[in-house]
Amino acid sequence: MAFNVLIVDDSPVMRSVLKKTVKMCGFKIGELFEASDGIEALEVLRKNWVDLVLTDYNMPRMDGLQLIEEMKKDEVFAGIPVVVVTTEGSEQKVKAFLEKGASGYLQKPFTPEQVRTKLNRVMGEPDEENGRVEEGDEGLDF
Amino acid sequence: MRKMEELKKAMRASISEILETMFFMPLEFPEEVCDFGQIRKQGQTPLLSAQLKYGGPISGSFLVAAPSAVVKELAANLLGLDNKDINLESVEATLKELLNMVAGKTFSLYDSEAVFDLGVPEMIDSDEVIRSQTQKSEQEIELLAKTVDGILGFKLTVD
Repeated sequence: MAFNVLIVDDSPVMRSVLKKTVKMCGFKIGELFEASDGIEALEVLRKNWVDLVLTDYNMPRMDGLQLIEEMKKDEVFAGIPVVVVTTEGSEQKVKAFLEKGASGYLQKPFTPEQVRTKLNRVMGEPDEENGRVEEGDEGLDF
Repeated sequence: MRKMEELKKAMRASISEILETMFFMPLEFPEEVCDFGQIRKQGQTPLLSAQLKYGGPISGSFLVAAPSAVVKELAANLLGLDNKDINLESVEATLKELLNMVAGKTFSLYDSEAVFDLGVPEMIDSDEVIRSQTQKSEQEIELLAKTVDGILGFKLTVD
């Protein structure tokens, strides 16, 4: 099964990097959508079928945590897994992301293998490297 | 003093990991003094500088400076594009993203339990960076990172 992915980041460079990484890492990709902040992301979600959201934390207008909060309020969007991709690395910040409802967390820098494993885990897909289905629950895996 | 040593260790580990993982650029840390004027002279292209403010258990600023040719190569590697397809906007965005990642990783290596708030990276005047380097302080860490494409300079200041 291929998944439609929405990438949310205010930096066009980071959106390009994430797009490139998600495409090349071996994760099964359908359509790729982009947004530069939480507000734009909600507009994309209203107009398109999205299976997974990868979002930055620090963004103008609406940040990653606010986006998760808004998605959780919506009956349709509440079930879409969200992975936070950020430079923020403190255990407290990661806990806050997960408590708000994020399904996973990726700290920059990341390798394509880390991205694939994380996305497969979040989507309950078998990881090509070990052939097993990864657990959906996210822990504080630094 | 110990705090600055630990920060320096975290900074080195962070710069190495980020340049090698995201930019595919192996590097070494020469023992020479970090002289931004010298980096500009050796680079033979304009020096680009970016800075961000940070706060938390400690606060201050984080800075990176590198010749534009080096940053262009970093951008090409990061984006998986040919060097000739990289424009100035991508070059500046790459330098800011590099700084953002290095700062975030440095502080999480320094103290993973503490919460640090990172400001938005901004391009700053390189002439000012060179001028301000005349006064050295024990509250500053300066590091040179030497890659095959040239030298980058990093500076962490604690208020």
